[in-house]
Amino acid sequence: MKRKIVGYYFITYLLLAILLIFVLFPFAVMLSMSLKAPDEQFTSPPYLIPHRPNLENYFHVFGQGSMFARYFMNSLLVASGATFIVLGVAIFSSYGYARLLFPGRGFFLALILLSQLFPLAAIIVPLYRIMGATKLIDSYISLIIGYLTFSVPVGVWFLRGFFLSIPQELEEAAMIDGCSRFQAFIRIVVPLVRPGIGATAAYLFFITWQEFMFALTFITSESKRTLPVGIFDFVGQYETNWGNLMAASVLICIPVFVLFLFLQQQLVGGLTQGAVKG
Amino acid sequence: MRTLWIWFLVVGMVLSLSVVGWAQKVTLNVWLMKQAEVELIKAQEEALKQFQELYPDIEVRFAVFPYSEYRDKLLVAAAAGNPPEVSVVDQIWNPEFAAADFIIPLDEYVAQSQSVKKENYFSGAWDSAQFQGKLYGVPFDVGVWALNYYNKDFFRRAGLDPEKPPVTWDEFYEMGAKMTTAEQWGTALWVGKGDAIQCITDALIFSNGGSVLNEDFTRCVLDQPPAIEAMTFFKRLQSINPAGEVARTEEDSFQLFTAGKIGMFWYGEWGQDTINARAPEMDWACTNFPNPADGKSIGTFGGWNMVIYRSAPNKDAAWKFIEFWTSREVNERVSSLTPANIEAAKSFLQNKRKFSDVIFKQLTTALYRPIFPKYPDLAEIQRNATTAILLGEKTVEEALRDATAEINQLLEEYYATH
Repeated sequence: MKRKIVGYYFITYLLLAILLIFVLFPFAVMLSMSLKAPDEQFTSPPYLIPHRPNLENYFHVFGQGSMFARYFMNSLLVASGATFIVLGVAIFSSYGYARLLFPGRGFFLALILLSQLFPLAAIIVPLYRIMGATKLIDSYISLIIGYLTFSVPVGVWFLRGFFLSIPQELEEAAMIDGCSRFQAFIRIVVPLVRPGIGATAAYLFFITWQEFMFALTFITSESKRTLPVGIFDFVGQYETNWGNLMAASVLICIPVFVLFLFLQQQLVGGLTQGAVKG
Repeated sequence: MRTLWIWFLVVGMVLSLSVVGWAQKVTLNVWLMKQAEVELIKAQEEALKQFQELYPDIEVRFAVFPYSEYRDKLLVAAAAGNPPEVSVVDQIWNPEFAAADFIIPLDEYVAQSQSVKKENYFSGAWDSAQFQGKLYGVPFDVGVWALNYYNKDFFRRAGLDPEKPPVTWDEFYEMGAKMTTAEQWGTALWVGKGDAIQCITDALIFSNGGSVLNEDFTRCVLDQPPAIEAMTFFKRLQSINPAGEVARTEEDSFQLFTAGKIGMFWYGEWGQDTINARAPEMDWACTNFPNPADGKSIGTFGGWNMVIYRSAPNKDAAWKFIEFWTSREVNERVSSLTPANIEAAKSFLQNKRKFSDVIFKQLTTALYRPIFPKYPDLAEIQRNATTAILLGEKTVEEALRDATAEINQLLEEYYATH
């Protein structure tokens, strides 16, 4: 019996180890490359631990002539701006879809889902024309508006699931005690779905943080570029500055890691919580 | 109250006058490639200041893009009617932009120009900007595929004289064979995904007296003996190169060279800095691209031309900028590849490159790739043929015959509608 349990654990940990190696190996290579000088990067045979580790690549990424710090701030601004606006819109509208009865509810809900089926490449040209006509091309606003097109539906759909998971009786009880529907919403329902809002916010931040195509198309000035586009500064026509590219990649991952660490509990709990009634 | 009105009036007049004054200034949007070198960015800024002193009424705004995003950016902006006034374009995009009517012919400007003259630029680069009898760009910078880089230690180990690198195809193969062991090879081939491998195969064909298209770019001539011989030689090199060449890119193979796994490698002059950074200990040299015993060493041009967009409101100002930016003195300072202006190139190579004579010789004889608006499609057919040859799916003759038929069909379809 005992041997059976030991065997069970052994297999579990073995599989976990394989999975971890599979997931972490590319990151390890990235980190290793970012700490190596050019003459160590492509040796034969290759090795993971740098013989002369140094931070030269990181200094260069933030150094003179590099726009990386600027790109970083731009990404932060655009991703958090878009996330806040989406949450503001989606909290109310998803509550409406979850609770209020109005004609066409099912139809509009289906439409929201349908809008997710369009590939981004299909809506980018009309959006570009709209931005061009409204003189918004090459502005942060154009990116934020662009991101709303795909992130609002995601936000609404996610949050609706969370709202559905709150028993309606709680609101009714609050209203019997004298709350208006709005008060019941703000004081009872929203605090209860806070984990869900956190999870949705994190997800929205991730998808806007790494968005590439809109950022490439709408922004022209170097000073307004975001990270996923800006990172290509290190990729030349024939040659790539691998050390710098990998250092920049490591740095790009950091905010997402930090966010994950803080939100991990909510994210895992939140996503499954909404999923049941989704 | 009255004084207040007068104040308003005065302020209003000053404001409107300054707006008029400001409006008279011509704004020029110029799109360039992103440069990583700090020194180069500084040099560009200084040159721009100089231009602004010369032409205070022209305000130049630079936008720079990394290579991988540049073409998409330009095409989207031009298609949406919102391109810059001036930009650099890759030589192989020049006919495409001309055929799409995005850019204007520059012959009239050139006829009146003091500094922009055909003889001041590498002829292959100048000709790359020609399309249907008109000139659509002024060469800005160039690169040539390929030089033969070699690791002298490989020569010594194989009992060869490192001061006598191969000149002919046969010598290249034989010396490479002597270097080849189970762990090291004479050279490394590659195909990859981009348009670079065509530069190598074209250079082999050019060196053997052949060509990809006929003189007026209406028929493909890849099924002729010069191309067949060139590709047969290319296939022969497979035996002195490590396996996996079809999946490798030029960068992968270059890494094999800097890692000391191969003795010789065909690459452009811009690779020197990378070799010194990645393999500071290596005793390397470079020589001209090998040629067949009865042929001549001819490389393939790459590089960038400066163009003016049709939608530019002030084309004269745009031309002034191009004249300035490609002039001998400025061209040398602001380009990262070799300047296209011959005099600028000479001093650039002497100051920044080793073996400048070898490079200069390769540049003066280099030829441009076929001029055809759908060049990327043509290049893909060529690349597929190269892949089929290396994989042994087809014989050299079969592969080139099929590619010729495909390219001819592409040409016919294009010219039937244009």
